[in-house]
Amino acid sequence: MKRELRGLYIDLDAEVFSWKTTDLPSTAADDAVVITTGVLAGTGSPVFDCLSIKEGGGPSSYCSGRIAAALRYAGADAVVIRGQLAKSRVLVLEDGTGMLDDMPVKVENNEALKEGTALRRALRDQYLTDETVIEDRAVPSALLAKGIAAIIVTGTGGLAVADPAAMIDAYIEFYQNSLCPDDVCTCDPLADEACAAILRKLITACYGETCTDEDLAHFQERGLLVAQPAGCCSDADSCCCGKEAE
Amino acid sequence: MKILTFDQSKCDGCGACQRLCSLRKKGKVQPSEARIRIKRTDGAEGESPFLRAVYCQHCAEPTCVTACMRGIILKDPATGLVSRKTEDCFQCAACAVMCPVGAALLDHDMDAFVTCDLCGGDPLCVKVCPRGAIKYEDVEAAIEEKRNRYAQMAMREEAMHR
Repeated sequence: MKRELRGLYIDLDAEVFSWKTTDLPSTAADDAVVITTGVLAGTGSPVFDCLSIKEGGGPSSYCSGRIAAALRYAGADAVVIRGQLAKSRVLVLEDGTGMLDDMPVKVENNEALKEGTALRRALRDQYLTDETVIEDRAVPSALLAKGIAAIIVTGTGGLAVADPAAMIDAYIEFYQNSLCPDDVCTCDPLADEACAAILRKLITACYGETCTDEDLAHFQERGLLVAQPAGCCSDADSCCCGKEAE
Repeated sequence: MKILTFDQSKCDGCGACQRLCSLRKKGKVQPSEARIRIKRTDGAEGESPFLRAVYCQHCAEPTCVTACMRGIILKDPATGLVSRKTEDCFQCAACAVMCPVGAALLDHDMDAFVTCDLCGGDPLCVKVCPRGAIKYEDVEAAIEEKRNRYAQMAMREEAMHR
């Protein structure tokens, strides 16, 4: 199963934002950081809102609250970031547009950014709407090193689904069989046949192509299925599983 | 008459209700135009955000019915359901302005203001809420449960102040 992605390419040196349709990237080239949303991100359950973040080498799965869904509602299935900012700034994506904004408060260093309650407050005051997701404390170190201190995404668009009725049926089955929500942090979707069956149904309904076990393995290998690492609840305000911060 | 009820203490803001509502009503996932919306309000420093669900309450005396200039919003006296003929809506927004809970929203695909229609008596949001925060129940049962919750909250607060 081929998954076409609409990717936002950001050159930090020149502050240029451009859009390209791309295939599923397996590695990050040169100095790029590649953020890819999960195959089911934004469709129905926040359980599937994972991101894959690649910086050189292989993919690392990354559970990130609602931001994966927000990225897709904003029109970006993937974000590829190259270059380096001279000083920390904030990446703002809003329904197909992107910009770099100055920091609303002064923050001394990356450690202070991770603490960041003052930054969080300031970002919320400045940007928060019902459709906005703000990611600051959980910004991966690969992005902090590039000078991106926070990502703010506002998405009001829609995600196309090939067979809405089949997807609704599959989600009802998913929820009513209590598959996952409480155990999301330790779930291996392919180790459990019931879980894998639901995933195949959901992906088939979403993309209109039959999803096989090989497709599931292919997506999981790239970090695009559930596979959130334990301790995903570093940000209890937006964490997908609703547990308290650990 | 049955209505949707929302238990704020159970909701974790996952948004499954919004996503699947929009999927059923629009054929695509677009939570910003779902007929039930979970709103977040920041709590005090160190506290979790305050969550509330916004959806049509099918009021006993709906202001949207009297506000609508075209008379296309109707309340069924038998079922209590507030419904609308969306094809005749000309987007004056009177219903949205007058709605006390902000439930009416503009559906950009239909070019009409819409509200929750309870999915014809089988609300999807109830089926997919992983925490059981949304229920579809008789008004009387809903009122009784709300009174019980209020009493329990009052007892907890009383115990804390002792």
